[in-house]
Amino acid sequence: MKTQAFLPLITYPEANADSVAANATAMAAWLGADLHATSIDVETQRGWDAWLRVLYVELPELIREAEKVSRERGRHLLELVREQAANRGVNLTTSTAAQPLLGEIIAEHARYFDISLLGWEPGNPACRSTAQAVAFGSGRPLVLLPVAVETRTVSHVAIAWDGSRVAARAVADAMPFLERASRTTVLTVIDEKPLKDKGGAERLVDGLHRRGIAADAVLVKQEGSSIGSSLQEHALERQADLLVMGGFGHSVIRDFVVGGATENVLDDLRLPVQLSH
Amino acid sequence: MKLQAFLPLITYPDAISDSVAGNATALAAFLGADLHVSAFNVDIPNVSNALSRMLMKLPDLIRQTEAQGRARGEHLLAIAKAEAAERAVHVTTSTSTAGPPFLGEAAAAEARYFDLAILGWEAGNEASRSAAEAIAFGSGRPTVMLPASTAAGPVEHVAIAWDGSRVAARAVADAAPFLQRAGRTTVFTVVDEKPLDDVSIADRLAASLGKRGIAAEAMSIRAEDCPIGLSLQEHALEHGADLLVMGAYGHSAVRDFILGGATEYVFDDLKLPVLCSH
Repeated sequence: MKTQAFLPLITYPEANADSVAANATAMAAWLGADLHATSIDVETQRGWDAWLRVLYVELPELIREAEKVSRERGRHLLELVREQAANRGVNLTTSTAAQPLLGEIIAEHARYFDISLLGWEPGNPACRSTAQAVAFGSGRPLVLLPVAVETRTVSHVAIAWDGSRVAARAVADAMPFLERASRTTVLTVIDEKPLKDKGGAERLVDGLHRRGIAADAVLVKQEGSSIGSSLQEHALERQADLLVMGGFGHSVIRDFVVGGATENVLDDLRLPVQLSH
Repeated sequence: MKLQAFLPLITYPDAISDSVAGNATALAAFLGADLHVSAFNVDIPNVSNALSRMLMKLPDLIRQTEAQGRARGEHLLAIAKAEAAERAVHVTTSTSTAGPPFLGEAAAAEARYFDLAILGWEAGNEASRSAAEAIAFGSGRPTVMLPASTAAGPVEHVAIAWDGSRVAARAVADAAPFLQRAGRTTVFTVVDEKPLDDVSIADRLAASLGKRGIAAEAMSIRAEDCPIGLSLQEHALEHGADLLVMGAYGHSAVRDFILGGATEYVFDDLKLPVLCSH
């Protein structure tokens, strides 16, 4: 079955960095996937700004300017994606979506694909809201590709396992990666959960073996204030290329939604992560 | 990849009919899957208070009920092993116990280690209904419900109930092993029931499946006067479907079904195998 990957491209207020083109196409190539890239061009809502026009005479001009900039950035990113896809032999289709930046619409698009990819910049609000919408609303996995990390192959996958429903979903969603990886490590953070869950990692590894996937279980201690960060540290230490996770106790995803003052791995993402919910 | 299927057997308060073992192993054989069968026996807490001490027979009744449940479980495990041997399905078994309100949850937690859960379904059987609910909503994996009254056979034609929702998207993804093996796939969208943003969503999914290498046709059906769940099942059967794939809606906190959602009616009266994901 040919995997269908979806790449929404952020253009406004800050655009995705150029590296998203190379990273996303590399990921698609690795999966042997078709890629559909959509630039999300801003279209400001004209209805509500009637009274703002009274206050800010320049508003229509500002709006037009914003839309123009957004469209140009969208064209630029799509061009880069086309180039990179051609270099890697990835079957690519593109589109533009000129619509208010409503996450729900992007999530809805994502439901027609097997997986979504998103260039990840934690300081970019449009990135955060898009990621949140797709992770929670598409029913499909979302891979965040940090801008500064060059995606090449995904030879080693780390799975964050806590025996939960969302973790089970994350593992199922990760099968295309697990089937292609040469190494899989199941990471379980201890200290957080009661003793009985420790057998879970071994159980998962056993199930993966039966499916023909070689895997090892590793129990790790939580270091620092965030489970997510501990997982990232351990994954990086073991040279994992991808971290797979669902919700996780004081959930990484929940912190991500709430914004939280707590240290959050997504604020300092140093390897691609696949989120499932 | 060798699929791992899970068949939980919950025998309290009602026993499920023997046919579940044969149906489940037939499905596992069709998928080329390994099958793990697990009996969940009830462990009823002994009440100890003045009233219960007056009811002298209560501890005996409890022991009797538990023993019956265990015997039932053992009986079904034996049938499952025999059926699996006949169909060359690799089978493993286990037994665990839980208090009455926790049987479904225990099954759901175990189901997370598998690719799919298979359940026997019988009208009026409270145990099978609450197990299906618990596993469909709590396992994170798809639940395939097999009506006890029909013999499960190969899944040649898959019907997908599509409404463009997140849960439906998950169900389609979870149904991949069936879609890949089916000779025919039909995407159904019901019109006149829920307001849908785009009338061509069935076409859109069919096209998306086509790109994945799965030939599918799109079909819109009218709700008529039947509750939506029954319409879907009826149309699926009319078109010769062997499996209905749908997203399960539920108020997960209390596991009530949202009134008007298709799932409630499907769970009331199952007419063909249904794959549910949440």
